[in-house]
Amino acid sequence: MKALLQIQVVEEVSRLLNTREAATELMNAVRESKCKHIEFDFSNVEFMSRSFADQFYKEKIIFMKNDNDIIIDITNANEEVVNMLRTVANTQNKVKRDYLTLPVFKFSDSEMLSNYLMTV
Amino acid sequence: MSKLTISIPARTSDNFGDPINVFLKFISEVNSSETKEIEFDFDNCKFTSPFLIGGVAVIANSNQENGGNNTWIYNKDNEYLSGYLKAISFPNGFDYSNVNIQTFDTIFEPYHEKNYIPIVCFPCGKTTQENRVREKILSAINTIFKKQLKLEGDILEGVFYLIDELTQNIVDHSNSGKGIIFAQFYPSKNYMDVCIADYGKGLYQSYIDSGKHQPETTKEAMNYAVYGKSTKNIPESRGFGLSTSRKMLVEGLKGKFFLLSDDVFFVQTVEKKEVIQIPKVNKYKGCYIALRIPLLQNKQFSFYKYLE
Repeated sequence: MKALLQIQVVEEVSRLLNTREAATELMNAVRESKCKHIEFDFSNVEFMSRSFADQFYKEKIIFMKNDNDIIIDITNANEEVVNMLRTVANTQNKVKRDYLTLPVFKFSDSEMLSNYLMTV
Repeated sequence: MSKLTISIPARTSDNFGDPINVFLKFISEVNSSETKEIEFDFDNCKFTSPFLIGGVAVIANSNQENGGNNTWIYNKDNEYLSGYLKAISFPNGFDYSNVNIQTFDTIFEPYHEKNYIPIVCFPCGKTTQENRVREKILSAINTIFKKQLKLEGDILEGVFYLIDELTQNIVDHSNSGKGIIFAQFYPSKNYMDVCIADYGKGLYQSYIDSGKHQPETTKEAMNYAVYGKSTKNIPESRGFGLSTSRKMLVEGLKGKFFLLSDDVFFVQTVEKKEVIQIPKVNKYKGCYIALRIPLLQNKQFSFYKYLE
């Protein structure tokens, strides 16, 4: 049986998970561990940003590639967190994106620019 | 060298573009002047907008960072305005430098009952300490929004998403020491105005420095940015921030999105989506974002629909 390391994410970061760097730091905290089974417990986490989720996902993949034996579990994540993690997983290899050349209008006169802004 | 006086108008209208127009005029005045002595005159000011206050704060902070000096004139009889400006920590913003980051939530608690957040300068650097400060600041700000707006579900997720992605965008490309965020909620009008800005190098230079995509003009750089072409040499799974944020705000929440950088701005509303090239004298070095976020509970709005 593999030794289990349980991480309470709310204690390590907070209820709201915002930045990429916080995800990296969370993963760095477990990287040195000898445990081969890591459980990230998302109890009481209310929100995970796309940035955090994307970085967390990437770090997790690297972690698992570097050590085939490791098991990483995500537990007690609410529906929003699960949805966000699922979304970033689905967009990891998205190369083609919608692109449209936008119309450009030029103003060299300040008054015309002001008039335009009043219509926004 | 003589000083430049910037006169804050008595008021700006509720029109989304009106305070932005005034901000652009201020930029023009600063760009046309060689002095680093700027006097901000609030003597006639009765009410002001977060888009204007946020703009004045970045002008003042940028001037200060470049060795300039700012002075302020207030009408002492207008206690409402002076009290408000003090409450929002104008102009320098909430100073986190001597504060234990674990106490941000407690410090910001008085704002749970207000209709605004203070001006918050967040660090854009990449040291561990700066990352931690930014994480805690964003959590504290989002907690204020949750308490003030009394929203839940998809629309609250949407608000959090906009704040996180647009601040992350500044951190990723601005090369600015700090970014600022400021917001005002208008309960009777059911919307919130948010201003997020930096005084970094701007979108065009960010693309040029990254060596990626290489836009030929500032307007092309703006087009790339709003369609998610990342300035970073990173996998294509990144760079969604601006693209998804504007779609979520405008198509999902029926709000308004404005992004100024260099001599161009991008504006998206339900009626229009276009890039505007402005006179060089209005050029803003950095990024300035204005958001109008409608806050009526909208059952049609699905947060996940906008996550590409």
